[in-house]
Amino acid sequence: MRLALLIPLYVIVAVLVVYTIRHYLFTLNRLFGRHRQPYVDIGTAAWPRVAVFVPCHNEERVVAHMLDALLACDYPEQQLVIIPIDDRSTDATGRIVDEYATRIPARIRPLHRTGGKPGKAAALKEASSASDAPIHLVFDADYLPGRGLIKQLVAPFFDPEVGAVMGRVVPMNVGKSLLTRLLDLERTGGYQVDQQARMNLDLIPQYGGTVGGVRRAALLELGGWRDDTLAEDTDITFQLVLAGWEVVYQNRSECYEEVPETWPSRIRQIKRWARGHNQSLARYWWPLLKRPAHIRRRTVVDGLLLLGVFAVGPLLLIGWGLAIALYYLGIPLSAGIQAILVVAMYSTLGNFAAFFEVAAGARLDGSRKRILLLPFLIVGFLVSLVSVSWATVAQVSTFWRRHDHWEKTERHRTADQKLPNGDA
Amino acid sequence: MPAFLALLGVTLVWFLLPLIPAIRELLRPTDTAPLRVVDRSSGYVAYFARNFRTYLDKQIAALPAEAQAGDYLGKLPDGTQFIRVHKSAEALTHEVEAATHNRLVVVDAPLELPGNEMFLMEVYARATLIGGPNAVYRAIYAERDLGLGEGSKVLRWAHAGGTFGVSAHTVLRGRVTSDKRVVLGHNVVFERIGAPVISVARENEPPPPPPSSPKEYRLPEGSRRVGDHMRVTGDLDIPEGVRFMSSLVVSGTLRVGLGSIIEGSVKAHRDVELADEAQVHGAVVARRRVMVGAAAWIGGPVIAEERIRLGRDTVVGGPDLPATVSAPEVELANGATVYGQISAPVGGRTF
Repeated sequence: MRLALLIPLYVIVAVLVVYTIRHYLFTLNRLFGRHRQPYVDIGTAAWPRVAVFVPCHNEERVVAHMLDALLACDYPEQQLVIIPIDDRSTDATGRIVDEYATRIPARIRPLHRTGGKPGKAAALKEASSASDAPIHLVFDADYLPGRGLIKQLVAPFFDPEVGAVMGRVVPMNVGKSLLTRLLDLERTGGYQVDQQARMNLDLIPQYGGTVGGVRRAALLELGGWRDDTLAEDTDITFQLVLAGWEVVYQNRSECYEEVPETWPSRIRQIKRWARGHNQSLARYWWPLLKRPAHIRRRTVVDGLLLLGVFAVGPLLLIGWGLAIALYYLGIPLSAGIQAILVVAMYSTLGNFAAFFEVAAGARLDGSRKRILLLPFLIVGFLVSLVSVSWATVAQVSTFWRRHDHWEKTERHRTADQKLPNGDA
Repeated sequence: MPAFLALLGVTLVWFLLPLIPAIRELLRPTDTAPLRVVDRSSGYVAYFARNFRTYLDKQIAALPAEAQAGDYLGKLPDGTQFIRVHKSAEALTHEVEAATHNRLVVVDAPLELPGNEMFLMEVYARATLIGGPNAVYRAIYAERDLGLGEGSKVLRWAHAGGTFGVSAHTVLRGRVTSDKRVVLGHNVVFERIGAPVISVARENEPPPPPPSSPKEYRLPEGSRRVGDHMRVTGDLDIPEGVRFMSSLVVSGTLRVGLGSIIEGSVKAHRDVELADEAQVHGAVVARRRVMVGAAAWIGGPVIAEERIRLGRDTVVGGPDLPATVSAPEVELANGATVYGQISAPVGGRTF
């Protein structure tokens, strides 16, 4: 009984310690390490043809803003085609994109899906064959790219080894609620520190499914987008790495997004992410662990930790449960005072290294005041912890179900809302 | 009971004490605007020059009629001191002692400066401006040709609508751009340059196709195809006088022999070394250094994470093929020509 409780607890604590070290390593790298951004200064080039895909399902509130922003980009007009994918919308999305296509037929070529498998991955899989452009970029419909963003995202593809590029997501509706402010902080930690540190350390920056793109040749080699996943972005990241491609992150390629403004919307979003990410964990942990010859050991370690991020939540809850059970059963920790300290710190504080990461990210962004809200991140942390754990348990209990249900993130923008305009 | 409540109260206050800044920011938000980072077009190399030109147009348009023509000493509407030089440099030289100008200078007519001046504010030249030796400029915008004398220094940015000539031993901090061409002298130090043509002394064009097709190079065994490129583990030496028909990624150092031609792009996880007259039709990327010999040609961008050295008469890009050379340090030999942009944030120099 004693060992049955102690061994899992020590294993969980060990896993959490590894994640803690990872957070601190990334944060210290961003604070004191070399900032690696080799493609950021490519401002002049013979720009290749690009297809920009915008998956839309009931996006009437935002899609026009998105198309206007893309049309205002400084990419050579004759090299850019925008493909809005109207994925079975029941609102005015289809009509709006058709109006744009009528006005600018050479640059906007919508694709209307009326059937087939629902979801972004399936929409991308179907639409990607609509263009033979060598670079395929993807934006969600609520995003607002700046004028120079397409060039910035295309620049890394001059490197023949780059298979995918990821830019930085910046929330635009920060001031709406406590939730949006917390998500703004989370994004800061995730992109400014986590993604850029992986880029600096030559590990695996994650292609995030939007504000980024893939090389068509790589996509073809992999057989196109997988439509049997809720996280086609994580999936393609690991497929590319395993096949010998490089995924790069461009911290200076920023794009505004609309983050969820209500807790139910956020919970649905993070549960979907957790399910999709866990699908990738199940698919790629073993191929990664086998380590193809071109992948270094540290890349494997980073890849496994990246795959496991959404499994940490349930592990943490189990660990807390075990620690409480041990306490009330009166079972002492036998490995000495150090073990007691480690378990006690872990049990009471959780993994606070992530908070350090967020604080460092805000510092790097030059945000002086928003970081004051850092203590409230514990609220977001607990909500995410429960949501992710719930999603994981539900996923495990229904693992035989082949097709997960796609839940779209709710939009809150109004037609007359003032939009941010960068440094204009 | 009262003791318990008191203890509870003290505990709660003790707990909430460090949260006061957070609670205050929550109740009275002061920092809720989105980060002003999107569309940060300051990456555009002529960004400051164009912004200055727009600013000055607005300021000058708002001046009274008497300030719109002829020599003039006064203030712009925003309070900036400025001097207009309409006919000759005398208006400029009479105005100050020790050749130090602390006003924004607007020059209407072609002007040749004697040298050793120090301009603490921007210089705007509507006509050709030729600077003398050892002058220091905060920033210059010239609508037509611009020449900097030997040993001059630009502190922030400089732009010419026409040809921008830079004499030897000049230091160009910040961004230097031209709508036509930038011609650099020897031992010029620079950071970022953008122009349709950038050359050291003489300008070169991409080489014509070779008269006969060189024999095709076959990669050593163990190399494998990844998508549209070939991947080689370890170092790779491509012999002289051959042609390789695909893009190439090498996990070690890549050396391309004399006159050999790569039809695609190349990347090395260490160095890329191109011998004299070698050609790469696509991009050249290296995790460390790119070292290019004489009279070589690269069709696409050249990117290195440490250093790039372009040899004598080497050309990057072409008249219809703009390209960027980007590395922390860039060195350009005599005759090296880049059609597009050079970025060397740590430091570039000509030799």
